[in-house]
Amino acid sequence: MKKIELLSPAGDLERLKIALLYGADAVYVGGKDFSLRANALNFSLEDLCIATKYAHELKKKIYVTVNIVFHDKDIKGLEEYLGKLDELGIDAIIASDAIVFDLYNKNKYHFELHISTQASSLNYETVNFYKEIGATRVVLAREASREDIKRIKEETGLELECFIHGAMCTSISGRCVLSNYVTNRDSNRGGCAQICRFIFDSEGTTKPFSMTPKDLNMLEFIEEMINLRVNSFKVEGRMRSIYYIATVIYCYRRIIDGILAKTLKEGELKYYLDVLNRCANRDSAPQFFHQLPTNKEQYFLGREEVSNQDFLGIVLDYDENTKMATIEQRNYFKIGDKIEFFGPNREAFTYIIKEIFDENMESIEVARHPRMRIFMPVSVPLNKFDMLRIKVFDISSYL
Amino acid sequence: MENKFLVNIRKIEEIEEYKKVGVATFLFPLSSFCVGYEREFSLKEIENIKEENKYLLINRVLDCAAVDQLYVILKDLKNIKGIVFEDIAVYNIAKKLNLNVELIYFPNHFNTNVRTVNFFLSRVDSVFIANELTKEEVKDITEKANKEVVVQVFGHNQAMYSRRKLLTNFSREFVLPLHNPNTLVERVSKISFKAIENEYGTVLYSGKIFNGLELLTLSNVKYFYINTTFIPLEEIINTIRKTKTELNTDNGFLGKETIYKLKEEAK
Repeated sequence: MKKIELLSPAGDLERLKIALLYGADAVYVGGKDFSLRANALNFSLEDLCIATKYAHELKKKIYVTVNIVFHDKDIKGLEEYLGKLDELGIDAIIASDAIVFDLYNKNKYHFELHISTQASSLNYETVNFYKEIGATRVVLAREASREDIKRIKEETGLELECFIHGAMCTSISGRCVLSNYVTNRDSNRGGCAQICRFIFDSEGTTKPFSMTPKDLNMLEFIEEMINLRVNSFKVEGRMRSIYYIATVIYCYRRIIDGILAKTLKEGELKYYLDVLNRCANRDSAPQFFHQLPTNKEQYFLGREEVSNQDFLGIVLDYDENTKMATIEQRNYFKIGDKIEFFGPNREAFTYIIKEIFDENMESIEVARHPRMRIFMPVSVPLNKFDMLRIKVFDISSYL
Repeated sequence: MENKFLVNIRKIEEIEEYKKVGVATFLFPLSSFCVGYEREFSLKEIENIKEENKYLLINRVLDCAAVDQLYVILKDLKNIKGIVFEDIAVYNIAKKLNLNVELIYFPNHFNTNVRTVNFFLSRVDSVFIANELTKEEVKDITEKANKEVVVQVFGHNQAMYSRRKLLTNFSREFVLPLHNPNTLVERVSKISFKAIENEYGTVLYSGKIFNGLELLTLSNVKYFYINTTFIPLEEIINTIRKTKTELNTDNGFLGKETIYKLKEEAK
């Protein structure tokens, strides 16, 4: 079977584990320095050591973003840091600034060089340039059309990574410094304050508006992208929750595998689209792949986002003898609720809550406290890291 | 006496006015290959202008079709001193076509450190230095660059480039007449941006004119760039003549370092 990489973001070790367990073939993470998303938790070198070992034990890969645009004062420690990453045995760095390319070529590291989407690669000669300086993979700009992807692959033969899901920049990534002007935070050094999502007034009208794009969602074009020989399908969102990562990776893993095995059933895509949109709490669209986005692919008056409390908890343990699950609560649930368990190695199944016990094994009606540990009898064996959510969509009704 | 200013041209008649104040080098946005400029010129128009120091501007992030087109139209390039470009593809195209012109790399926000600048200077003739730097950073880079570089000293600074037709989308959404260009004001900060759109996308410029004339004392500079977009010709001429301005300007980030991490703000 053709190998397609599903690449997940991971903002910390917990997210990394969830991403890999739920089906990602590789994860991309940021270190404490030199990485966009400067205000995320990010990974210390010790974390990176644990993360690399963990990923490699599962025969999966880890890529580290070194993707800020460097000012001279930021350079201190960069070469040493890259050397440390090399010692840790990470699989690749993702970079956009030529200073990193220069150091990569000088020091002949063992890891690969991947060119970040911040470098705005949208054509075969740009990709050829990066190939010539030693890159083994280019993350294409999100603006790439199907024709661009096809030509770039044909003309360069290089590994291509394309975003398939998550938030979009209004600008071509890397080509925006609105944050610098409005907040004095440097967009290209991880300080983006998402100014494009703020409200603007314009001359000649009293209508306020934002420039917010809807999220990217390439679900309907996954098969075509596979046929275009895209190597890696990337999900955006290093600052997203474990529930978001689990859900998105779970869905795309099944879609990709279903396409490759020719077992994806009609109606399944619509089911996964509904699950993904609800998980992100907002609409999504394929954006640039098949057309130039119009007003229909944007929000104009703020994000139409309705928060939900679907994520009910995560399984910490399961006792096969007593058939009792230990669960960490994440949102309110109670006896009688119709919920759904899903997890890395299982199809989702429906369950109606019959009993809940607190830590003292006292029967309770409601799990109301965030992160409280509860026990719940479940006859179907569960695994650590399975999750439970409110039952909203039933796949059988889509098939 | 000739100076080192490089100005983008909006009308061919402007050239004579600029020459009167010593400007000898001109930048022409190439039609179909630029975003964010009020006027673009066909290659034929540019080639026919009887000036020695003419540069083409190609500042789109290029898709594959645009690269194919560039191979065709640049093949027989003549009477052009050089190409100023944003997409590194142009470097590869020029190399493969064996073009005998200067190449100046202008990636807007990216040339922010000495080593990066010198990485590109080992391949091209010059580079633009980013605008989001302090005066000390610009000075340090120019001094340590292995070749002369280009520094923007006046005009609205590019703050965002989107492939989306943001002004058209807005007018469609609310069924309003299209105002292009337009001024957009962020509601909380009241900071404004000038937006201009064409078929290939939308550019937002800083609402205030950037005044970096204090950089004119720097050495190792090939050109001091003036982006004339949205500024009346007479104001540009006056600024060049006096090397100062009475317009409402600011000096961008020359005296104001941007924050890397929020914890820096707390220091």
